[in-house]
Amino acid sequence: MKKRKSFPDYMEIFLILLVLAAILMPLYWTLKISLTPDREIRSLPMKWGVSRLNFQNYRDIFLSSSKAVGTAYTFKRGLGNSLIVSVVTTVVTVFFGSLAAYAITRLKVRLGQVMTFFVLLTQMLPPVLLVIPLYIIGNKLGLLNTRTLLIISYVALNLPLCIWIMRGYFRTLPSAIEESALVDGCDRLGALFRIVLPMSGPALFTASLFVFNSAWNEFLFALVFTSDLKAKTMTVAMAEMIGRFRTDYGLMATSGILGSILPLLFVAFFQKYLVSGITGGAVKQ
Amino acid sequence: MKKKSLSLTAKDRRLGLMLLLPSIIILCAVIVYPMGHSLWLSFQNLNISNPARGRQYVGFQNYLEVLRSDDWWLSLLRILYFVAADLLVGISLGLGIALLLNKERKGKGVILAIIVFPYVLAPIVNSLIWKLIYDPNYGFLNGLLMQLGIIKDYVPWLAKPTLAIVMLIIANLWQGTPFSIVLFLAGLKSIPREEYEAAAIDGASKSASFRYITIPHLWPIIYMNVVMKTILTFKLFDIIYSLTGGGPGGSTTVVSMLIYRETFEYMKFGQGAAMSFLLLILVLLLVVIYSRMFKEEEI
Repeated sequence: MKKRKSFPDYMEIFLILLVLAAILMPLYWTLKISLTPDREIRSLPMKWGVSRLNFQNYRDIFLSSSKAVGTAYTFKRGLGNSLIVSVVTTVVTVFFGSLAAYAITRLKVRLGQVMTFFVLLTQMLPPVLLVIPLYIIGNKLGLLNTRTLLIISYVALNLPLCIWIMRGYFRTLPSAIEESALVDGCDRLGALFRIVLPMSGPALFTASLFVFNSAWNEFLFALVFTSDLKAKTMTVAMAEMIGRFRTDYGLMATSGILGSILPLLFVAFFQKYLVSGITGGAVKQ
Repeated sequence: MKKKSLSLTAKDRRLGLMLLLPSIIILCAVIVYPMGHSLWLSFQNLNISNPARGRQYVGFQNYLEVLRSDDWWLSLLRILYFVAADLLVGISLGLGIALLLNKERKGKGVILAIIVFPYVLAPIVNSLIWKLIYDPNYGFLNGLLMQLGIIKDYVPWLAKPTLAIVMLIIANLWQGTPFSIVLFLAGLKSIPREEYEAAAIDGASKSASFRYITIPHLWPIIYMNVVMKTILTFKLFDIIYSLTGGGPGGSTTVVSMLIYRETFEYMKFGQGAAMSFLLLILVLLLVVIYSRMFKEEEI
């Protein structure tokens, strides 16, 4: 028995399509520009499609080398730096964050409140408030323009949220399994690494997604702390392209697409984890 | 008997502290100590470009200078404009779209995934995308409006002071609204269906059940949205720095942009620190005011 669609139903479908178009159109346009031959980008009137797919911009970025340091090479190195910084940040943050969360939930170290305070604090602080002193300290310690300084900063910025996510999950784990391991002669640390953490896959994964994405996308710290190819991240390289007076739009669009592939893959495959992470603290059960 | 063997021993407590230690050290080194340093800086006159003069304690002079400058108040007004637009338009859009999507429907998963797209992108990618759309000559927006016959001449979207800030708000909403949608969807899901059914049996109209069931249930979510959006928007920097650089004619120089420029372009570290503390205080104040407002509403 099929219900006939009424006018309001069609209206709803139309509105949903409109929303989807508003979200997809800008992405499509960027993709289109990245695949458009240079001559065509600056031809009028505007065309919605491409006469033929042109992968020159992608080639320019991937085949660029240190022999001719230009925008494309800067971006390529930026991608590399971003990847290293984000991966290390994620591993370090999730590792230490899980340890801390375990201590707070199971070993009753009374710092739960303090941690909540830090979660709120790191959310509310204008990042520039930390950037100013960290720049001065980094300068003194000779850490400016290193990936190390970025990693240290990102770990600290993301730790509270990571602890928060892990703590929420540990609380839901029945302590019975852990206890039986303890009775069997396993020590606390063993129970954490051999039983609790292997059972925490989903939470570890959610936390990793959030930490990685936030490090991958960060801009202000990277802008202030890095100055050349050694440590400059992808977002800084992109901002340079955007700010340039005579911008190579094809190359710029391509860098935007390349910089978005990972986050978009996260959404495509792990939407559930992302959504649960976003709503985690917000919705009362 | 079993309990006894599992109660926390002194050893366990020591282990707990050991496990926490790395996190505590990192947080102190990168957040607590720098905050203190920044506070101290805000009472110093430190100009890195003029090291010969060194630094000196100047009391509240930095704060007073900031509070006396037009730039500060103008940048505040601009960010307040941003926040107001973000709250009004962003939250209504978020709620509206969430209501639209709140039905079980074929392809809901895919639709949701698409909706979340902008949220995960780097703000810098967001501005890159809008740079391509707003470009006065080859941008999508002018091309589209031209083809639809809405405009006759190309509009330089980011070159007119009053227009530029609106275009930035739109770009920011594109990225920020998915967050609201996701929150509202979760909120809508948590409303017990029975309440609607009971209301329908009692003959309540759709708008009445929206007013008396949906909105009260969503109140915490709306509160959450207001707080998060305010905090995030006050921090707004990336898209302004990269799309307009605060221009044209300073018309999009919001607070964080001003702080960045004073500190890292004019090298006035003391004033930069003072401004960022003023900004933090302002955000804290707003959050306190919000929580008062929403608490009263709930009673």
